Amino acid sequence: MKWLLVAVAFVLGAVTTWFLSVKRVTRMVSAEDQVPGGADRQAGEGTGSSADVEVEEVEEVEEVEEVEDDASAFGGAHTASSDASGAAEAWDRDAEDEDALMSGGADDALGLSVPPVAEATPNGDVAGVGDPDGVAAIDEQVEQQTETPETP
Amino acid sequence: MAQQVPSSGKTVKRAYRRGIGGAWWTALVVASVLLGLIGRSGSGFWSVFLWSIVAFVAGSLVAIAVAGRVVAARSEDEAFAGLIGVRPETAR
Repeated sequence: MKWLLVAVAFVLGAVTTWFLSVKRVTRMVSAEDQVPGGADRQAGEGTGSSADVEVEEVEEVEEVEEVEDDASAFGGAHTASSDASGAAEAWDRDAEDEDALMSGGADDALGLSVPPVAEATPNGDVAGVGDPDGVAAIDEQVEQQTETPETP
Repeated sequence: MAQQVPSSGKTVKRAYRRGIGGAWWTALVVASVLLGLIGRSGSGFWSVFLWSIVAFVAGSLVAIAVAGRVVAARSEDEAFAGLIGVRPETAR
């Protein structure tokens, strides 16, 4: 009788410790956000046992959910994944957002089309080179579009 | 401004290890006392009580060793390190 109770204490200790120390968490992962081979790579880590990595495709659902407008988020709206993802995008899907931010220059923002100046300096500085009248016209156009208070 | 965006997803369940906390000590005392009271008619309270403590600790050590080999992750972020774009859903 005593050793039976001792065995019960052993089992109780093991079960109690297991449930107190191992915590299970469930998250929803969108299919396009999953790193290729990520789950497999995770399962392959450690001891090779898959008991801790229970990837359960419980439900493949088409769901409609409330999401925040990404346009107001840092870096703007997320861009779509490329067909052939490069090294940066494989590391971070939104890495190509940097290209989207860098694509527009100051001229594009003002809606100007400045023709290239043939007499540009070697370092690319085109301010007033060869065509001061053109520069003055551009300055006047900028002032009209920005509508600054200094404009007479 | 919120907008309705359809998306497909799947539920991924992961496990990670954490500290057992003070609940383990409570379970140790409660289990040992209860087993001691149950076995007091046969072998006496103290005998069963003390052996239960030993067995409880031994079982805990076995569970900790097994968890250390089976569950590699030590935090929630580490458990989901292989995935990106995950959204918290439920925690059990």
